[in-house]
Amino acid sequence: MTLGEFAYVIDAEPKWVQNVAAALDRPLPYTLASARQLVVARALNAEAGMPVGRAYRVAERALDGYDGSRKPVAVSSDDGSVTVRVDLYRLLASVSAGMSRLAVLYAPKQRGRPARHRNAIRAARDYGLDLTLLQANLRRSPAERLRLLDQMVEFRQRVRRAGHATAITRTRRQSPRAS
Amino acid sequence: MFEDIIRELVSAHLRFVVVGGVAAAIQGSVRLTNDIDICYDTEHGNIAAMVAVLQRWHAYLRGVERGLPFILDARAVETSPIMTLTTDMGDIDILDRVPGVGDYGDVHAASELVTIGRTRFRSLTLPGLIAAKRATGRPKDREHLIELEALLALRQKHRGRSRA
Repeated sequence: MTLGEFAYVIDAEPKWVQNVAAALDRPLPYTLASARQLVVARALNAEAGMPVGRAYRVAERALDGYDGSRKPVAVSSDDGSVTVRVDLYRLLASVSAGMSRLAVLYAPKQRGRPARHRNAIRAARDYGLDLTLLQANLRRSPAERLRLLDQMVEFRQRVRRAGHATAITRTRRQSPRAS
Repeated sequence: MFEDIIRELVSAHLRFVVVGGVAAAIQGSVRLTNDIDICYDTEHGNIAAMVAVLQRWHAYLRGVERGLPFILDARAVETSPIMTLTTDMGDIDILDRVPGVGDYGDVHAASELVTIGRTRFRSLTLPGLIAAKRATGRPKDREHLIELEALLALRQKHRGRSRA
């Protein structure tokens, strides 16, 4: 993961991630394990006021001994002076949601603002869009447009499924039969 | 598929606005989309009702392997700005705000009522979709932006002719 992706997964500003790395006095690995550790450290910092550098080390220990329980677990500081109950499963679930967002939505922002075209129709034509398709679609009602989209998506799914099934059949035919 | 999803959400009395690719298609876009995006009212009761619907559809995170820690309850939704889900009904993204437009109140204000059969729901307008695409700044959104701006211009041109 890049810094931007890592920050996106844990729903934090990249600057905050860099500040944590500075507090730890070492670079953070941008991995799933590190994302989970940092999310737990952020919770310890918010709930117990533990400095985030220290919380990061405590989080590592807590996750090492975590058995996947859905119940909140007691997490203690190194010297045992602070103990808080943390819902580790929920925190890890928030990282899973972040990983899903990363896979589905994330793309680094392009530099600069999108150009504002004086003539949007000409810009679309120059880009290669078929304006007759747009004009034909505008003559349809919203209901017709939605149904058309549904039909096209379902058709594409059927084609994909058929292609997938063909690929499987082809693979079976090509692979040597088990005796 | 998308029509069924919208009908189910409406029949559950959820307060939401259709945004993203499906809203663009409703406005005249010819681009295909694989998922439906909705922006929901963040009032707790509305979130709880939405979660009940998503649980009934066996929602799980999209794009990640099965078996990762996952919680789908009101608290999880309240603490996640966006959830990207796959369900028995199809893929759905739920958002508490739309970049470039704002929170649910702003999105609602930038939406219009759409009637399909007996189903009435709100969908983001072309100016709202354009504002959202401008704010996101991903390469694929910039391509889509050209189409949306052309649609708006074509519609304005058509309205101008109708008045004349």
